[in-house]
Amino acid sequence: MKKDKYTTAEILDGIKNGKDSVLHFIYESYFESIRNMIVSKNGTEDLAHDIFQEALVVIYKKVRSDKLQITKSSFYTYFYSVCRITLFKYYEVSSKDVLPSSIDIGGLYDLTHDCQEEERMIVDGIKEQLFHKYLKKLPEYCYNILQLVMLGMTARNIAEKLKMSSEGYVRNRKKVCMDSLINMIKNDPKSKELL
Amino acid sequence: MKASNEGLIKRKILNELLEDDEKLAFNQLLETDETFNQDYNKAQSLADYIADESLFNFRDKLDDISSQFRQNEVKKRTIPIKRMYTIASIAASIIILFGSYIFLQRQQKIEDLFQSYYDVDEVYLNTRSGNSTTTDLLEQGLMLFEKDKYQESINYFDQLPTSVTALYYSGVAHMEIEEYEVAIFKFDQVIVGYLNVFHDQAQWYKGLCLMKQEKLSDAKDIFTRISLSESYYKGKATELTKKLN
Repeated sequence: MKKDKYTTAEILDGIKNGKDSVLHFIYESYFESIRNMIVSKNGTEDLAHDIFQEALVVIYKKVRSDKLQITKSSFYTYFYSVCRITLFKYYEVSSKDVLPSSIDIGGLYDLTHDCQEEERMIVDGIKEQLFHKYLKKLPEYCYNILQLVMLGMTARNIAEKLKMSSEGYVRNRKKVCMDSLINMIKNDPKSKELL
Repeated sequence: MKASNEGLIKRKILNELLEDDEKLAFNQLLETDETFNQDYNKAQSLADYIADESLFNFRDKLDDISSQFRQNEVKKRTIPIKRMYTIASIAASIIILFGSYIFLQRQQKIEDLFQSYYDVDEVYLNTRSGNSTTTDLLEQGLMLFEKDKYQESINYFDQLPTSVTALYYSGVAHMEIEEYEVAIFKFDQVIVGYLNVFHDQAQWYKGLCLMKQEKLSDAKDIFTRISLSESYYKGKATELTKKLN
C-alpha cells in the first residue's frame, strides 16, 4: 500500500527488504533536496542519481547487517549526511580537479573517522557499480554460472542446477564468462581510476 | 602484470583446484608481490560482489526505480499552463499567509524563539555501530547524555578530543548546562570539517547559542548562511532569520 509518510523504522525495514513502496517514497521525498545539494557542489543530474543510489546501497548494507540504528533523529538527516560523504568520495576517487575550489578538503578526513565504515562502503560501492554495469551486460547464463562458482558450488552441481549439458561445458563457460567480464571492466575508462 | 600471474588469480577466484607448486607460488606472491596482492584483492572484491545475490538484486531494483522516477519527473515538467496558474495563485496565498505569520511573530522575545527552535530530543543522531562495546568512552558519554547527565557526559567526551561525534555531543551538553561559549568552541571544531555527519547540526546549534547570548548579528549571519546552503536546517534557518529581522 502506498503511504504518504513512513517512520524511520519503516523506512529502514523497507530498505532492508527492498520494498518498492518505501524506495519510491524515498525518491519522491528526498531526491530533489539531494539533487540541489549535489548541483550546488558542481555535480550533474546524473551524478545526483548515482550518489542517491550509492547512499541507499550503503544504508542497505548497514541495515542488513543490523549495524544501523537511527533512534531519535530523522532518516533524512542521516541519509543527507551519507549522500554528502558519498559525493566527496566520488570526487576523490575520480579526479580531485573537479572538487569545488570553495571547499577546503584538506584535513577533512582526519575528522571523519567516526564515519569510516560508511566511507569504506562508499568506496566499495563505487567499484561495485562498475561491476554491476558489466555483469548486467553478460548473458544471463554467464551470471548464473559465475554466481554459483563464487558460492563454491562444483561444476557438476552447477550443470545439474542449471540443466546444462556437462561439467566440462560449465568449466569452459565459467572461464569464457569471467574473461569477458574482466575485459569489459578493464576497458571502461573509469576502471583506471577505481581499480 | 605477468600473464601467468593473472591466470593464477583467475583460477583462484574461479575456485579451480591448484597444484601444490601453484599453491606455493600463489601464497608466496601474495606475501611478497604488492601488485599481485592488490590485483588479487580487486579480483576477490569482484568475486564477492558476484556472490552477493541480494545486493545485486537491490542494485537492480534501484536502477528500475531510479529510471521510473526520471520518467515521472519528465512528465511532471509538462504541467498544463492552466494548472500552473492555479499553482501560482496558491503559492501567492501561501506567501501572503507566511508574510502575515512573520509579522505576527516579529515581537516574539529571543528566549521564546530559542525555546521554540531548540529541542534536545532532536539533537540525537545515532550512527553507532551495533558492535560498539559498552566500555567505549564515546558510548559511555552517550549513555550519560541520554540520561540527561550532561556534566558527567562531558567528562567522557573530553577524553576524545579528535572525535567529531564526541565534540558535537559535548557541544550540545554544554548548551544544556548553559555554557554557551564553550559549546560554540566545540561546535566550531565540528563545523571546520564539512565532510562529517554533524556539520549541519553543529552549525545550527552554534547559531542558537549565539542567539541565546544575544549576539543577534552573528546569529543572523549563521542562519542566513544556513538558509542559503542545502543544510538540513535550511527551512528552520530561513524562518528564524526572518523572525530575527
